[in-house]
Amino acid sequence: MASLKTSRQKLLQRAKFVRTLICGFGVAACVAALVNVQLVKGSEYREKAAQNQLRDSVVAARRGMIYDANGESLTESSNVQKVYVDGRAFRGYEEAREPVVSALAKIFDLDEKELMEKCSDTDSGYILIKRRVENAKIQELLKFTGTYYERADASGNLHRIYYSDFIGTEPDVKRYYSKPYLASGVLGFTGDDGDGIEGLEAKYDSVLAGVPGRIITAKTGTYAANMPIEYKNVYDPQQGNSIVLTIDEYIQSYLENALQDAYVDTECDSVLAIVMDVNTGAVLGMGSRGAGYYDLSDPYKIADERVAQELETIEDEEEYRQARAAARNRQWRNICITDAYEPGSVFKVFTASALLEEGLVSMDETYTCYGSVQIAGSLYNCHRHSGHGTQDITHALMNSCNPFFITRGLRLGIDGFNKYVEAFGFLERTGIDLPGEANSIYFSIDDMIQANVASAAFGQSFQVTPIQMVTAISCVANGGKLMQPYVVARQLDVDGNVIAETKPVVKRQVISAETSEKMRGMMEAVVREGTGKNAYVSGYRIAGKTGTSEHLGTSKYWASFACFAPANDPQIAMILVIDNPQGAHGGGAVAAPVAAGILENVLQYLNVEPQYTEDELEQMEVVAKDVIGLPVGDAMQKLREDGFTVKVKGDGETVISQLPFGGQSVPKKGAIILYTSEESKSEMLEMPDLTGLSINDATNRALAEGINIRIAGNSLLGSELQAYSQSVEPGEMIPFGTTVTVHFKSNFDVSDADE
Amino acid sequence: MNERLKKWIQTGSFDTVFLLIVCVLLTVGIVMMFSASYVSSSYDRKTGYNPYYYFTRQITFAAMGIAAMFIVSRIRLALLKKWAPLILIGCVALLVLVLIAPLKISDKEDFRRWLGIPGVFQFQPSEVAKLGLIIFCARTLSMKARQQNALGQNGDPAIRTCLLITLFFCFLVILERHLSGTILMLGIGAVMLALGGVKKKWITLTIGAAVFGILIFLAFHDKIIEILPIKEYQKTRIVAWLDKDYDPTGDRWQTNQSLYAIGSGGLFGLGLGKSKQKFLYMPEPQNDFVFAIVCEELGFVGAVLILVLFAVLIWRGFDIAMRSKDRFSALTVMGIMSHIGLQVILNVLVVTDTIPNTGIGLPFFSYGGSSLFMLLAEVGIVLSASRASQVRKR
Repeated sequence: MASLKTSRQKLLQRAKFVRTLICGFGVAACVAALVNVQLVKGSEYREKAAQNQLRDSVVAARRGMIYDANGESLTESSNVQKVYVDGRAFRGYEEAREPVVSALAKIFDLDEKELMEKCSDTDSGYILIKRRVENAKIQELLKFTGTYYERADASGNLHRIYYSDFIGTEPDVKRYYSKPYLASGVLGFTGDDGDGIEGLEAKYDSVLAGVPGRIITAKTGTYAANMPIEYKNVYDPQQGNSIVLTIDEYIQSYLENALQDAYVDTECDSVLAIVMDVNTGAVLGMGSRGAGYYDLSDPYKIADERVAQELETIEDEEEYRQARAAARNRQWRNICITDAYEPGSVFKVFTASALLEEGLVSMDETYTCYGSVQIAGSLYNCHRHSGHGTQDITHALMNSCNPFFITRGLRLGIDGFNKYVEAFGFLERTGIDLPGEANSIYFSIDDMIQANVASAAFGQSFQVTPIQMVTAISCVANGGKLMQPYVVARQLDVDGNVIAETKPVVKRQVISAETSEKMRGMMEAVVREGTGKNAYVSGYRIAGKTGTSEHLGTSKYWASFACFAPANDPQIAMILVIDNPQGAHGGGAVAAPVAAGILENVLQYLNVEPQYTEDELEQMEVVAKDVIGLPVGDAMQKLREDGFTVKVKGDGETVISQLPFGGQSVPKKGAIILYTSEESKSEMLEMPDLTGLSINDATNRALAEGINIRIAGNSLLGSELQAYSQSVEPGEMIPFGTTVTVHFKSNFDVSDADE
Repeated sequence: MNERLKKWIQTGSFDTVFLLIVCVLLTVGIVMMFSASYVSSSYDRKTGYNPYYYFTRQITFAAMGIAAMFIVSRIRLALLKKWAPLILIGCVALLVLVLIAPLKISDKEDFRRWLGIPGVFQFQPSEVAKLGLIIFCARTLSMKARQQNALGQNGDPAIRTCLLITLFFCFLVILERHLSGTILMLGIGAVMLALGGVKKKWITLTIGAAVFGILIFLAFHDKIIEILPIKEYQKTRIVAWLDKDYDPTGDRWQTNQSLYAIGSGGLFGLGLGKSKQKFLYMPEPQNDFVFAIVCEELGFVGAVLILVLFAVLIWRGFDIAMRSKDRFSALTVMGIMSHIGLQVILNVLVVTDTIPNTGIGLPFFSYGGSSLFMLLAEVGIVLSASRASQVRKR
């Protein structure tokens, strides 16, 4: 047994050896390895793990707001989502692509074929499907991603494959517009990446953009999903600063409504207008139709119905695409600053200013127009071929007499003339804070000859931009200071603190205050009695100048009207240009009435104190007395005392209702209808057609029918005026006593060019 | 009761301390495996997005294994010794069968490691064969004791038999493309031979040769890898181990993620269940690399505590072995404890990137039915041995 014992001792010895090897040596090696990895290199690995797990995702910053001059927000930004597809998830799950694509196409109204192509990239984990998706659509999407299909694995077990494995969402920001068409040409829009592309959104992109935030989340390794644990470091996005415009929502609306009507009525190619604060150069309204007009919330849609219809007729696809691209470019173009036009007779204002400033013409110097004038071998016709006869500078401006300004203009000489063209800012960009401003198209100054000055003196052979024109007109009106126009008044931070304010910049004194004053009087005369009389607004002293110019070598015209008001204390200036109106094309005939419509609304809105003439006071409105409950006889007598025409409806004895109501303003000598029975109250009348009638005829006709008319237009001109539009269409059924606005204009002596 | 049957039933009470340590390790192991796996399985289409997939299956295997453990603990080890040749033949049959008709598992079509019925039951014959090798070696080497005098000191057929069988098993397992199985097999064989009384000079020589080989390899690994008769994927694993910047999103991905996990754990860990690396960074966190997640969640302190528990378990297992008067039982138990010890050490060294990634699971922790079942059955053998020594003590 000795050997056995030996063998057992040997076994125990070996066992202890092995045990030591394993429990001592082996475990010690393990602990050493752990010390190395976990403690010595721990922080290095921890850092790498964090790099691995943490995903930086950018949170788009809310774009700053754009406010109008009154602090009304024109834009709104809200948080939405973007939707993407994880192409890698389709690897080995190709069968899921078809249902995913078809569902996405259906939810987001996308082309299924294109989408399928997009989603076949199995190397990309991020295939952007749609940006700026609103919550309603996300809910629809979630309904889909909550569903699954089943598929069998190799051993035949069915597994659920959720569609959420393939589709993801991320936060995004969307811009909303309370009035999606208002000032679209000025505001501009942002691209898919949120950067401003056009208009103020582009010009003030760095101000509005803000600083994108970051969310650092712990993401799972394979899918972009968040780990379901609390691990989130949020660096809030910094909202962009806001800008406050000088543009006033109301003025802009008046302006755009009038432009819309003019665009439809005149069938022009385009029409634009700018309203400016003459003293600061602040733009109060700027708009256009036919270009620079689109839906801010969908800038790629062709907003102009006329253009859209034309596009529909194009059958060739390539041609259609090009035409559509051209149409988009055109509708994004703020033509108030990007397109030059020929100023025509409006420019006589500046020739006159220069002549007066230089003392080359006195106020009482006269000139006799015989219908044409010969200069340096060229014959220049006046638009009135019979001639304007003998006139001073005021009447020459009122008549828009070409020979007067040609002959007098030449007194300035080439350099002298150009000095004023330059001083009024026609040779430089105004520097307005909008992108894409163009310059004028003028003669090469070094090569100019006398004949050039001759035509330039009455506004031909060169082009200026509307913003240059309205700035120069403001200069003439405000005492001679050329201002730098601007549309952004202030920048506000998120809390509404003003961080930058635009101070009006006087570029230079162009003419003296005295010359300016003379010009104001002359231009007021143009509107009161001259070619601009259709721009007259009763109660307001408007100064202006008409312009009509031909597109060189065509029979297309620009009809324009530049003006300011009130003439004695100018506050606003305006330029209105109609490009290629159909039918009448004169500035006085076409542009001035539109300008009058805008001016009336704007001046009232700005609370400019009306200054009525005696004749106008005659037609002033009077507040109607309340006579309800009175016996018919008493009521009639009471109202007649105030000069009203009274009509009684029904055969009752007491007045149970009246129209207009007591307290309402009714034109003097207007009609008031008294109702004496219930059934009589429902009586209506058909609106008569008053267009073509003179003021007297229209008033009489209206009173006979039992309606009131408010006269809009230059009422001082009496019989010369004709009604050309009315606020209620003929044939419409209206209650008795309704007040209808009727617009009158003159077609006599409003021409400043060959008709 | 049938007398013949009664003969094979082991009476006496088992070592409760040993069982207690096993229970603690098993419980901690299952909890950590669940913690490691629930994220990836809830994202995995293959598990039907079921976060409890691995957990419930592992619990089931553990229950079956515990049942097997108690049954085995009642079997007298003499029966195993008697059946050892039969077990050997069975193991060889299984190892051959797996080469002929392996069960293909999706994603792992290249490997021929599994047998079973698809979707119902599968196991690795090499897990069984490891125990088979231990039992057979123990038998062969315990026979030696009786024959020692007759044979003298020169030439030991028992040692030679064991060596041959070990190499044969290794050969069969390497054909499965199962490097880790082969290494363990080799390790178990070496330990059995060392315990069984191979001459000291051979032990010294082997260790010396191994150290020298490793040094040579580290010095000339570029050339050696080229001529090594191993599969391409195994070569890349070695290259990936040598070159720490090698293909970080491919071959070194798992190892890197493991290091990041362990490193993230620091001294005290992120807390139970709070691993981040298990969020689909660590591939198959329930398998070989579960210890990395353990380190991340429980920290250095927790990881070392677990290692100490393993050490205590092995120590206690050797105690049991050394108490048993019967040489076969002693060798079998030592073999089993060495097997567990080797596996723990190799696993931790792989997870910490100390040695190349071979794919060795951590006992009681890594997911896997057949290995857990066999492990508990092995524990049953140890318990049986402890019963036997208890009986003798009385």
